[in-house]
Amino acid sequence: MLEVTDLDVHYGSTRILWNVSLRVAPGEIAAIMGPNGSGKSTILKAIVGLVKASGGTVTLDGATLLGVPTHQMLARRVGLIMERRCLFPAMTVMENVRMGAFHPAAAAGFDENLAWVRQLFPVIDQKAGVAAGQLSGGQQQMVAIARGLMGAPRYLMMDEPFLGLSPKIVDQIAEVMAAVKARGIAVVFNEQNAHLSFSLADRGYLLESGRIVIEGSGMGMLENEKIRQVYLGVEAARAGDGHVG
Amino acid sequence: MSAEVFFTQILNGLVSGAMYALIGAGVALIYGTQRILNFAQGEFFMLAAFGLFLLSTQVGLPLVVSAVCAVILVAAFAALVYRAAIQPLMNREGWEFSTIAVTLGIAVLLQNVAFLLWGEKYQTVPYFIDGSIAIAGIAMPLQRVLVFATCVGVIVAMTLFLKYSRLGWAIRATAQQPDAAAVVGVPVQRIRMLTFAIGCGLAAIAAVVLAPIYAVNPWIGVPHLLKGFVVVIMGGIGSFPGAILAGFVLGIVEAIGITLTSSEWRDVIAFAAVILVIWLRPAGLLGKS
Ligand SMILES: Nc1ncnc2c1ncn2[C@@H]1O[C@H](COP(=O)(O)OP(=O)(O)O)[C@@H](O)[C@H]1O
Ligand SMILES: [Mg+2]
Repeated sequence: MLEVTDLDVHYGSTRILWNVSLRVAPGEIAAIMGPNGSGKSTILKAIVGLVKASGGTVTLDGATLLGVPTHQMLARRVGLIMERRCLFPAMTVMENVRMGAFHPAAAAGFDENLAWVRQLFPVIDQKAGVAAGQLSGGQQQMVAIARGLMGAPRYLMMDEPFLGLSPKIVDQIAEVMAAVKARGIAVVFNEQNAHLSFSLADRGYLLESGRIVIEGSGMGMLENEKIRQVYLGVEAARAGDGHVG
Repeated sequence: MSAEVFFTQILNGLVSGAMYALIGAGVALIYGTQRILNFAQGEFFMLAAFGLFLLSTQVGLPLVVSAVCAVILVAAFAALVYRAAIQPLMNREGWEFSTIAVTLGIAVLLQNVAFLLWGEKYQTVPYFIDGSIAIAGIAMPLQRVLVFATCVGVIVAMTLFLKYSRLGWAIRATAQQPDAAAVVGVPVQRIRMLTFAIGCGLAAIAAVVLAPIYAVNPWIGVPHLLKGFVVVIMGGIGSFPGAILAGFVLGIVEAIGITLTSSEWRDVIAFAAVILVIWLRPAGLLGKS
């Protein structure tokens, strides 16, 4: 179980996160939903040590993660797929994928994981020798997920994996998320669209201005009165823009 | 210009080109991976040349052993300088400027320390190999052949290292996306220190093979730093292959240029070449605009 308790983050003197608490268990999907700038990315970065927490705790099966350097997160089996893919643009697709298993902790499962991601994402073989920066947004996201899975995480965080992608690709990536979950890997993902977030998630969190304001099961979040009015109501008016169920 | 003179100048140009390429590759490696303009690059060159001089003529070690030790010592010293003086600046606002100021300061400091310790006299280092060989009827001192072979060999090795080794991948990943590199397990700070040390080590390698030709004094690094920057600008800022190509282009242009004019015009020709390249291709020979 990955547990975040009362997490605070400041950028300089500006407070960004206020007592954020959330958790995810193996084989579970948790969604952090919130508008742009609400602090979603900051939560994930703080968990893996890319930004410093100024208060609170992050534990994995009881052991603290705060203070573990980012490059040792895979030793704890915690992976992150960053916002806007963040591939190594001048490295080839295959180099990017292999780079995902750079940490020695990922070496044991290398062959099996490589076979798995190639089967999940045919684009890896189709574009193996192409510089990652040349790919389309959807292809880049697939390579980014493949790179993340190559690290053999038991907890995988995905920062806005659906951002800017076409409905068809959104569906594909949602299916991959289900396959990842079926392997017993815990997933935490960020997303701005309430319907997409909570229909995929076992557990949902609504983040507003750096605070978790509502939490519950995915289903519960979809039925929540405030979420229906403020987030799903707005979306319903934006007739028919590619939701997945 | 007769065909023979022309051919001789091409050979000379290839030798200085290989040296410029290697020095430029060191500058490009550091700039291309971390955006640090290392103004102390020339002084690491100078220290390696003095290291060779001291170890071989004062301590009495064999030349080749002295050369290898000098390169390793300079690279280790560069790592130390990075850790102590540069890394602390990297997370601060305005680090681009403060690293320039700090590396300039280190350059002046090292020049003065070298002056106090070893004086301003030109110190000579014996050739690694005496004699010369004839290439298509033109006599070429073996030391120059050695300069060429070493520089080209090191450049090839470096290219393969970056492309295929685990550390090379870590260096490239850190340059392209440091946060993503950290997430996949690359110790980004350590890799940056290592990259800085390797970049300075490349200058040190050039220095030890050139020391017998140029002699050694506290200020020999300065023109090499300038040529390194010229090559990097000409090749496309931060482009490793660009710096190598530009090094050879510059070497040959200079060699032919000074035959047509005179050797005092060497630097004028070099700077004219760089201005011409920038004018025709603002991003440099292999730079991305
Ligand atoms: N490096 C930074 N320095 C200062 N403020 C930042 C930095 N990164 C993000 N912020 C601010 O923190 C807040 C939360 O950002 P972020 O976590 O990226 O939100 P989200 O991912 O939900 O869009 C925003 O107001 C943003 O402007
Ligand atoms: Mg974000």
